[in-house]
Amino acid sequence: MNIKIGQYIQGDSFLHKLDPRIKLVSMILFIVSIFLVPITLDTYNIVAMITLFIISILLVFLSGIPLGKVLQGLKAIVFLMTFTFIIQLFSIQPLGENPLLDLPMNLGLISIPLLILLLVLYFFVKKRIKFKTTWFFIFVVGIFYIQYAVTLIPMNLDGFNYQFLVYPSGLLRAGFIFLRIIAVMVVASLLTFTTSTIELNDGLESLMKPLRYIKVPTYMFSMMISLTLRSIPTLLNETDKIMKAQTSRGADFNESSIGQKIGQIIALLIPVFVISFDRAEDLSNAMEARGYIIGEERTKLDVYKIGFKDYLALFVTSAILITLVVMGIAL
Amino acid sequence: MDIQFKEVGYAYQGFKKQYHALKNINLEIEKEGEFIAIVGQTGSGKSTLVQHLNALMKPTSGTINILGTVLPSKKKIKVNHLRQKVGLVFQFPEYQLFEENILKDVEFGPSNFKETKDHKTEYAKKSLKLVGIDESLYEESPFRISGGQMRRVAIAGILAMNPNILVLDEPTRGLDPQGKDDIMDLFNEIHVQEHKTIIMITHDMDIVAKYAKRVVVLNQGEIVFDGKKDDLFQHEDFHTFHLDYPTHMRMMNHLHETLGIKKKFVKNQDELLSYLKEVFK
Amino acid sequence: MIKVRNLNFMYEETKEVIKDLSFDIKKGAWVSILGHNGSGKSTLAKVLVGLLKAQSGQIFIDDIELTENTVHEVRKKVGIVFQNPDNQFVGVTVRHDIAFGLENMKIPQEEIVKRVDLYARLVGMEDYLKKEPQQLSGGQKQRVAIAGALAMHKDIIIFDEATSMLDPEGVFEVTNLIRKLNKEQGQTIITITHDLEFALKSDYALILSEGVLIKEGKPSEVFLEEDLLRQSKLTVPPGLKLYLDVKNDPKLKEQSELVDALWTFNLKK
Repeated sequence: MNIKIGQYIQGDSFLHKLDPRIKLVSMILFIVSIFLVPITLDTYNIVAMITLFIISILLVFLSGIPLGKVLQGLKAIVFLMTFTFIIQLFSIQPLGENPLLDLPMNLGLISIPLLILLLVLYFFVKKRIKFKTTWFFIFVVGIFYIQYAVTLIPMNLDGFNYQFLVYPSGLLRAGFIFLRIIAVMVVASLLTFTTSTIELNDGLESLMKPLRYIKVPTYMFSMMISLTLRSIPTLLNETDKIMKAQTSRGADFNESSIGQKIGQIIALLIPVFVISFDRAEDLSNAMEARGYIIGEERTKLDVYKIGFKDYLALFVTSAILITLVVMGIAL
Repeated sequence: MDIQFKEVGYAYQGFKKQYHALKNINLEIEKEGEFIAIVGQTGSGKSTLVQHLNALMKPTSGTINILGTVLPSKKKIKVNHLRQKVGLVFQFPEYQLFEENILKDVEFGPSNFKETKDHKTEYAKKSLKLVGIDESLYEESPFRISGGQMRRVAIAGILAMNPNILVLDEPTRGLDPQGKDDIMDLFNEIHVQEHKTIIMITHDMDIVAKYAKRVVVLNQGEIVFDGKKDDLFQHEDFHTFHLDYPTHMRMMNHLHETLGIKKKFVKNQDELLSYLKEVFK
Repeated sequence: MIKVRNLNFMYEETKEVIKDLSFDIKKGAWVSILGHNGSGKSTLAKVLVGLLKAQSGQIFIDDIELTENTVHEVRKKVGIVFQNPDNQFVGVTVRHDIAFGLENMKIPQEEIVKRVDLYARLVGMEDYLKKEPQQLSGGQKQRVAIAGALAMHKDIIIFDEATSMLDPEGVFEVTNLIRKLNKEQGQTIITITHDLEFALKSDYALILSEGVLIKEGKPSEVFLEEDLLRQSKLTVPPGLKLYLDVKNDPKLKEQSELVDALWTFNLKK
C-alpha cells in the first residue's frame, strides 16, 4: 500500500525551491495582510482586497500546480462559504442605503412542499452527475427563487412573508469575505502543495530555535513530529491487517448490529494499541542503542540555505503588509 | 467443486495505472480432503488470492463461487457467514488477540456466527486442547504468555469456529524450527483426522514436500502450475517458477554435481539415504 | 574485543536467566550465539548494548568496562540490528534513517552526507535513498539498519534474530551482506539465532541452554554432537541431519568423498 500523507506534490517551481522557513513566514505575513484590509466601501480598500486576491491566484502559477487542482481543495468548504455569504447578505441592514434588490418572499403552504421537493431532487440528481458544485449553486438559487416565484401567483398567501433585501454594503461585505476565505485557503494549500512534511518539520524546528533560550524543548517536538509522520503509514497498514483478521473471525462491520459493532471496535482498537506500544518500546530501544539522548543537541542531515529568491519573497510580502498598514493609518 | 474460481482477476488503481494483482485465475477446490500449498515469489498474488477464499476481497473480473455463494453480485448480499466455513489464519495471527482472557478470545470467533454461537465455550475449549494450551491458562490474559503460545491461541480462535476449510497464510513465519514442526504437525493432524481441506501459503519448500498433496504456483498474478507436488518437483520448467527445491533434492543435485552420482527423484530424506546406501554398496 | 566475565542476569518479565556466563570474542570474528527460545540469548544482546543491566558480572568492550557511566562510550562501538525491521526504522526516509545515529553523534553535516551515500552503496540501497519505510521490503529495511550501524563506524555489530521475520529473499540478502562485511571488511559480527543452518556459516558458536553456556567451539565440531543439540532443544536442520545419518551409518561413513560433499553442502548457500 502506498500511502501519502499531506498534499505534497513534487516539483521544481519557484515556490518549491523556496526555503521552508521563508515560506512559513511569508505565508503568515500575507495572511495577516489579507485580514488587515478594512471592509468599507472605499475604493482603496476594494482595490486592495481584489489585488490581494489576484496575487494569491497568481501565486498558483508560481507553483507549477494546475489551478484546477488547487481550487478542488476548496470544494470541501463550498457549503460553509455559501452559508456565510447568504448570512452576510441578510445581516447587513444599514440606514440610508437603497437596496439593490427588493423581492417579496413567502414560506407557506405552497412554497414549503415545493422546497422539500427541490431538496429531494437535489439529492437524487447529486449522485448522478459530475458537476456537483455547480448543481449545488443552482440548488441554492432555486431555494430563493421558489420563495419569490410563489408570490407571483395571484392568491392571498398564508405563512411567513418577508422581503429579500440586498444592500450594496451587504453585497460588498459578503463579497469581501468570500474573496478573503478563498485567498487564505489558496495560500495555505500552496504551502502544503509545495513543501514536503520533512521540510515543514525542519522549517518549524528552525523557527522555534529561539524558544530554546527559555528552555522550551524544541528538539523533542520536532523528533516527535518526525516519528509520528514516519509511523502513520505503518500504523495504517497494521490497522488494515487487524481489521481483515477480525473480519475473518466474523466481525463484519457492514453486517452487524450496533451492539456487535461496539465489540468489533474494541477488537480493532486493542490490538492496534498493543502493537503501537510494542513498537514504541522497540523503537526507543533502537534509538537509545544508536546514541539518541533526549534533549541533547544533534546535527542535521539536511541543511537549508537562504538565497536571493527567499529574500525577494520576504521583501515582497513584507512590503505588501507595510503598504497596507501605512494606507490604513493615512486614510 | 466447493470453491470455484472462473477467470478471476483483481485489479486496483495504482499511482498512475491499474495494477493487476490477479489475472485469469481458474481454480477448483474441494471442501474436504485437500492439502494445497500456494507458492510463489513475494508479490506474486498469493495473499490476494487467499483473501478471495473467504470473501474478504471480491474479484474485479470473473466470478468466484464459494460454497454456493457467487461473487461479485449485483445485489448487496451477506457474505459474513462464509467466514465460519472458510477459516483464514493470517500471518503473525498473534496480533489479533484482544480479549481479557484466553478463553474469551478463542470464543470470539464462534460467538459471531449463528452456527457456532451456542457452543462457543465448548468449541473454544476443544480447540485450546488441540493446540496444546493447558486449562490453567484459560483465565490468563492473552498478553501474558509467550509468543509461541500466543500464536497457538490465535490459531485456536479460528479452529473454534469449526470451519470446513482452513486457509493459512505462512503459519510458520517467525517461528523457531521446533515451533515450525509443532504447528505443521498440528495442521496435518487436523487434516488427517477431520479430513478438512487445508490451503496454505508458504515459502518453505521442505514443508511443501512433507505435507502438501497439491501445489498451486503463482507468478505475477497468474497460475503457472496446478498439480501434484511430485509433478512440480520434476517439472522441466521448474526454474521459471522462481522456487527453491526442497533440501533433500538440493542435496541430491549437489551430490550429482560434485560426485557424479546419478540423479534420482527422491521424495524425502529417508529415500535419499536409502538410495545412497544402494549406490555405495 | 569483547570479554564477558561471570555475568548473572534475571529478567522479571520473561523469567529469562543468564547464569555465570563467561566468554571472549576476538576482533574480526563472526560468532553465533545459539539457544532455544527462553535460553537467555535475546536478553544477552540487550545487556551487551547496555539496554538492560545485569545483576552481577563484567562486560568489557574494547577493554572498556560497561557501566552506567561508560554506556554512551560503549554504544559508539557496538551496534545492534533487531528482529522487527519496522520497529527499528526511525527516519522518515532511508537517508534520514542512516543519518540518525550520525546526527546523535553530532557529526558535521558534510560528513553525514558523505557517509550516508557511502554506506547506502555498501549495502546496495543507493537507489532507495528517498524511499519511505512502507515502500521497502523487510530485507531492505534490515539492510538500511545495517548501513546505519556501519556509518557510525561501529567495530562490532550484533544481529538479534535479525532474519527471523524475513521472507527467503530477505534472509538471503541479509546473510550475504553479513558474510561480505565479515570476510571483506573484517567486521566483528555476533549473530544471535536459533537457526543452526545459519550458524554453520559463522566461525565460532556459543550454545546456551537455560541461561548456561554449555558448549563453545567451531560449528563444524560443536554441531556434530547430537545429544548436545537435543539437550539444548535445538533442531537439527535437514542438511545437517543427513550428514549425521551418513556419519552414523557403518558403511557410508567410510565413504570420505560422500561425507565431505555433504559437509560442503551444509556450508554453502
